Amino acid sequence: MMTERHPAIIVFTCNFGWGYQGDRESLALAIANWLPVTCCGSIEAEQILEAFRSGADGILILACPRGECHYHEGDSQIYKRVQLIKQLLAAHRIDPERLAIEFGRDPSGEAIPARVTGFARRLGQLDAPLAPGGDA
Amino acid sequence: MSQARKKAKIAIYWLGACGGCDSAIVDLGGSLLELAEKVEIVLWPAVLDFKYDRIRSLADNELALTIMSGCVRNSEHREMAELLRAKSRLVLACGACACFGGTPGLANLRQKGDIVSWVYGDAPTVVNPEGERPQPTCRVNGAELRLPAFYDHVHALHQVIEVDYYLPGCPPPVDLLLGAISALLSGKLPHRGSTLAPQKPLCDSCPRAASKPARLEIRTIHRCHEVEVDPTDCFLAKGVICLGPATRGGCGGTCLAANTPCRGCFGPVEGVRDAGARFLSSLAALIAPEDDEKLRELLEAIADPAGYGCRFTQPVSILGEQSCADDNEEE
Repeated sequence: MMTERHPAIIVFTCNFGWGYQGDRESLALAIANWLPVTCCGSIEAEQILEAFRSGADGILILACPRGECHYHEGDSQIYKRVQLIKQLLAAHRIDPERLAIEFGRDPSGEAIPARVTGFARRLGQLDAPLAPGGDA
Repeated sequence: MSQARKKAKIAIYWLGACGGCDSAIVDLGGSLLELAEKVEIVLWPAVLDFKYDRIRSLADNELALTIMSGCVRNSEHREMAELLRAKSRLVLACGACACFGGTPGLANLRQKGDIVSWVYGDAPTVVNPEGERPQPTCRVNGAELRLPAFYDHVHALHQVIEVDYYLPGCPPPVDLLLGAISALLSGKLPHRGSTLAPQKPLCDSCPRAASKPARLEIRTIHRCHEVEVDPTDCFLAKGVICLGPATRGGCGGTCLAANTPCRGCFGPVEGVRDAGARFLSSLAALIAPEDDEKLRELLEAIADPAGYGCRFTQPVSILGEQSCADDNEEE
């Protein structure tokens, strides 16, 4: 049963594509659990898994458009990594839809809160997660 | 007799284990006979007949060393692990199951109820019209018999008792086993908590490394039974999934010598928190950059990536780790 609380969402964004021209402080206030990174290709599988282990309801990764990575292939690397981690999540009875990656660019960062809201809405439609490794 | 009393006492015990680690100890051959001259083996159920009461009668810390293999899945495993811990000055977790939970840990990807339903009902080879299920207690000839409680999860040994040293492998190779036992009995003790195996990944010592291209890119995926890889070729370069890049070396490459890729039984290299996550990351990086459709095809061709990542280490992984204290003893 879903509760009324807001889902805990971790938001990774690439500094080269998202919010680099915006007012970082205002954005930080508008986006809970916002983790800007220098290239989404640097997000480790362990960070994603630790976030779920710590109780995150979902993880949203906002990466640069396909083929436009500052470091040439970070977009491709995180895409492949995410696809394999989704399978690890599914094996642990965590809906793989709880890990999402979106490609795009938004220098002002103004679109990020709306992206998070859209993701939260999609999470709300999923079944409640089970504790990792736990029995129902 | 008085001389025998002066010998260091050791125990060799299996918990949730297949006996492969015990076989590896038997494979010490002549060295085992030399060892048996120097120490008194007070317990080794796989090979010799002893009674648990003898162990209970020992003083705390009376055993110089217990070599413990296997995972912890039920209350008997836990009871024996705790008993032997209390009686031993040193405990060596021997083999992948004791170190990481091992292949039995894959059972953690299913719920306990589903496992019982499958084993006692749904599996096509099972005939059980009465729907019998194992009960924790039953009466036979007026006496009550008890079965150990089946826990919710498979645990690695250190999740149940304090472990002093680790020796991974399925089973551990004879040279590392002998080195570990000799070091622990001679008092030349490495840093407590150490894994008594090399720290570098298997790829560093792989005899096939010369055939690995400088930039490895996987463009097709094969399961190991689908292609015959030349015995000198790097498996990954041929599109056969091998866990060598993310697995601790020291195994002696016995799988590689049998033209079989590494499956990861030595666990992660030093300092890595989650072997499966790190392996899947390294595998993802090796998949050739292609368009999205081709990438999807390649990723879908990897049969059971979670199984590759969890094969020996699920119970100690970030998502899989569970405290044994949380496991209920009720059936």
